[in-house]
Amino acid sequence: MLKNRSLLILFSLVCFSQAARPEAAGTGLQISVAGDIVGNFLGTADNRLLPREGEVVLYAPIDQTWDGALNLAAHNEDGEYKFEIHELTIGSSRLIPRSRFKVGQYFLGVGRLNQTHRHDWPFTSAPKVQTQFLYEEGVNDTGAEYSYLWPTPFYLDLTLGITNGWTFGHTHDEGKGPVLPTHYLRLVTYNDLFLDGGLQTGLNYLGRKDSSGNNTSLFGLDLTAKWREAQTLTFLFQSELWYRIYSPAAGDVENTIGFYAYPQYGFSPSWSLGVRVDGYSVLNSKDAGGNNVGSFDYGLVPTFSYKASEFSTIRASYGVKGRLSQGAVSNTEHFLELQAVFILGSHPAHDF
Amino acid sequence: MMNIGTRLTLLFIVSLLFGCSGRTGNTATETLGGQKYIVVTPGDLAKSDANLTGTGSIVFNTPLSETASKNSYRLFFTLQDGGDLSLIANSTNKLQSGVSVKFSRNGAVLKVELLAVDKTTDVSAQFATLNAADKLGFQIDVHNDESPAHILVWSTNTTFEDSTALLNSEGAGLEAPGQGAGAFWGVSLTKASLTEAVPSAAKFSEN
Amino acid sequence: MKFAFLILLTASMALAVDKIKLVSTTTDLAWAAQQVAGVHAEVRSLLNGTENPHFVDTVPEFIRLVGEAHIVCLVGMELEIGWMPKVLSRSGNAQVQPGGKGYCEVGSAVTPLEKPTGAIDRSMGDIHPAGNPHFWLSPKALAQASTAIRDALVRVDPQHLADYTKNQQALAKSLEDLHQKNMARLAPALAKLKGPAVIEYHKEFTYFFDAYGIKSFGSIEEKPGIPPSAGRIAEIAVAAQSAGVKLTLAGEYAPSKTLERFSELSGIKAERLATSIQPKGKNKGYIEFQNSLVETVLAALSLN
Repeated sequence: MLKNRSLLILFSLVCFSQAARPEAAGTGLQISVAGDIVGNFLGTADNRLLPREGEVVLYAPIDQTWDGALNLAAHNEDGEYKFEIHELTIGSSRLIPRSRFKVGQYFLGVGRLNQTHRHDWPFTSAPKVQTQFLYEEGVNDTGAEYSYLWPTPFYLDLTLGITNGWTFGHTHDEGKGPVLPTHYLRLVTYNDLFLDGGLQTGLNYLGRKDSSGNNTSLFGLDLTAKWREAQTLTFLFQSELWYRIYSPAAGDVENTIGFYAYPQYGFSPSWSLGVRVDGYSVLNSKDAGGNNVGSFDYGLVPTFSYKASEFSTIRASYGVKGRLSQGAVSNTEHFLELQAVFILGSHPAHDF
Repeated sequence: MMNIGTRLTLLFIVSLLFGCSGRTGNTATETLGGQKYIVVTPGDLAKSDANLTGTGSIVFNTPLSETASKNSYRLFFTLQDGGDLSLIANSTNKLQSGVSVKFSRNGAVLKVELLAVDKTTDVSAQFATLNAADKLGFQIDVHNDESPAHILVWSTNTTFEDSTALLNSEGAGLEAPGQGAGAFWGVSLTKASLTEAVPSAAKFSEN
Repeated sequence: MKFAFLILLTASMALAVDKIKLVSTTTDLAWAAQQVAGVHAEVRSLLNGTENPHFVDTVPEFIRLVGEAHIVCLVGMELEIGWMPKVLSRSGNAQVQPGGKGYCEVGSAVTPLEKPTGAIDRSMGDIHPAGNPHFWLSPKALAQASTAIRDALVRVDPQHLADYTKNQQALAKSLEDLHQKNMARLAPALAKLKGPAVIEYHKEFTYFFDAYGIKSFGSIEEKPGIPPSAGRIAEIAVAAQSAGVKLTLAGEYAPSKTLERFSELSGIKAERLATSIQPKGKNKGYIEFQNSLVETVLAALSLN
C-alpha cells in the first residue's frame, strides 16, 4: 500500500510539474495514458466488467545521446489496483551506428505479443501458448538488450538480450538467483507481398535455468502480414508458433508446442472481424504406466472490433475452448469477452 | 457443441502431432472412485474402488495437463493416531520431485506441512481448530505454474476465495519450499484411510 | 558460409558511398529534393503516392532505407507522427534523427494555414496543432519547403553549397512560373463565380485553393479525419447546392460511397484525385500533377 501511494504521489508531482513549468515543454516529454476495461462472461468467468489495466507511459530524450522511458501499470490484484513499474529504461538509438540498445526493466524483445502492450493487441485475452510460455501480460525483467540493423539489401534486424532471470513472468516474489540468467535473441526480416501487402517474420529463442536447476528453452516463429488501403487495415494475419523444452533438474523432460493464428478482415477504418485459432499440446505426455497419452487444447475466438479512431477500441469476442484427448472432448468452455480501450495524450508510434 | 467436421479435423491434427496412443508401458487396472491408479509403494494397502486403507502410495494414471499447471484436489480421509496422508502433486510417476501437502495426526492435533525439494514449511497453525481424529475433507489448489508453488487449502463446504482459505501459502511464513517437477499426482498413506481423491481445474483464479 | 557472405556484403556496402542518399516520406518531397540535389543525391520516397500519409504502418523496409540514408525529409506538422518516429529510432541512424544534421522537417519552413487557436483536444477530430500539413499542393508552399531541403543538403554536403543554392533558386523560379501560368488559366473562370466554387471531402486541398484564390465551401467531414454521419452528408449537400458549389474534390482514398451519396443529394460532381505525385501513375512529376489538378477544376467550372 505504501509503494502504491508513493507511486501515485510521484506521478501526480510529475504531471503537476509539467503543467506548472512551461519551460518543460521544450524537453520533449511525452505522456501517454492507456485504459483497458474487460468483462468476462459465461462459463467459469466472473461475469463482471472490471478495469484490467491502467497504464501511464512517459518517454523523452534525456539529452543528445540518451532516451528514457517509464511505464507504470496498475492491475486488479485481489481486488486492489496497485501501480507498479512495468518498464524503466535508459537507452539510445544514436550512440552506435545501426544499433539501438536499452538497459533497465522492460518486456523482453521476443515474439510478437510479448513486445506489444495488451491494450494494443488485436484481440482481448491471451492465447494459451502466450499464457503458458510467456505469461498473460508478457515477460518483463531487468537487463540489457541490443539490436542491430544489418546493412543488407533486405530488412534484417537482430536483437540480443540478457536479463537477471531471478523471476520469469508476473510475480511479487523477489525470486532467486538463477543458475543461468534469462537470455534471448530475435531475428526479424520483411518481405513485400502481392497487392501492396507486407510480411514480417521473426525467429525467436529464449533460454534460462532457474535457481532449482530447471532448464527452459523456447523456440518461436512469429508472422505478421498486413494489407492496408488508406485508413483501412484491409487484412491482418498474425500468428506465433512456439516450442518449449522444459528439463527439470529432477524429472522428465516435457516438450510442448503451442500456436495461435489470427486472420482479421477490415470492412472499413472502423469495423473489423477476426477469428483466432489456438492450439496447445504436450507432445510427449505419458500416463503413469508410460503409455503415450495425446491431448490437444484448442480455442476458437471470433472477435469483432469497432474503432472510432486510432485512440479507442470497443471489442466483443465469443469463443469456445476445450481439450481433445483420446477421441473425447472435455473441459469445454464457452466465453464472452467485452473490452473497451482508450488512449489519452501522446500515442507512441506503432510497430508494423 | 462441436460438429463432426471440427472433431474430425482436431483428431487429424492430434494424430499428426504425436500418432495414435501407443501402449508402451504398464496398464493401470485398479481404481479409486473410478479413477485408475498404479501402486508405487504397495505396503499393506487394502484397496477397493470406495477406499484405500493402510500404508503405501499410489500415483493416478491420468497425468495432469503439464508440469506448469494449476490444479485442484478434493480429498476425504481419516488418520489413525500416529498416521499421516500426503497429497503429492506435480511429481514424476514415481511420486518423486513433487510438491506435497502432508497431514499428520498426534492425538487430536493435526500437523500440516508443505514439502518440496527436500525442504519443509510447517503450516499447522492454520489448522489449529480442526480435530485430527475427525473425518477430514479438504479442497487443495496447487498452482505449480508459480515459483514457488502457490498452495491454497479450504474445507470442502465453503466458497473458494483466498479470504476463505484455511491456508494460503502466499502469507508470511507459509511459503511452499519449491515447485514440483512433473505432471503426475498421487497420495501416500501411513495408517490412514482415503475415501475420495478427485482432481479438477483450480478453484481459485488470480486476476 | 552464410555468415561470411553477410560480412562481405556489409563491408562492400560500407564502401559504396559516392552520392548523398536522401529519403523522403512523400513522393512530392522526393521530387522537390531531386530538383534541389541534382546529380549529387539519390533520392527516394518511402510512400508511393497512393497512401494516406496519416495512416501508414511502420513498414520494416522503411527502417532499412532510413538506416542507410544521409538525409531524411519529412513533411512534419504531425502528419507522419503515427509512424515515422519509430522508423527513425529503429534505424539506429543518429544523423537522421531529430537533432541530427540529416534530419529535415520541411514543414517548419512553410507558412502554415489553418493553424488552430485556443484550446484543442481530440473531441475536435484529427487536429494538427501546427496547422494544415497538406502544403505541397501549393507551388508557393513547396518552394518554401525546398529551402529546408537545401539547408539539409548543405549541412551534410557543404562542398556543393553553390549547386544546391542554384538548384533551389531555379526550382523556386519554376514553381513560381507554374503558379503564375495556372493563375492565368483559372482567373477568367473564377471571375465569373459569385460564390464558392468547390467543396472538399477532407481539408487536404486548402493550400491549392489558397494558391489560386479558389473559394472553398469547406469540407464534407464535419470534423477532420472523422467519417461524416448520414445527417452531416445530407445537411452539407443541401447547403453546398444552395451556395452554387460546382465541384467536390477528394483524395483517392476518400470513401466512394460517401462521395456518391453526397453527389446524389447535391447534384455536385465529385472527383477523386491523387493528392501526391504517383511515379507509377500518369502524373510522374509535380508540374504534370499541378496541371492535372488545375485542369480538373477548369473542366468543372466550364461545364457549369
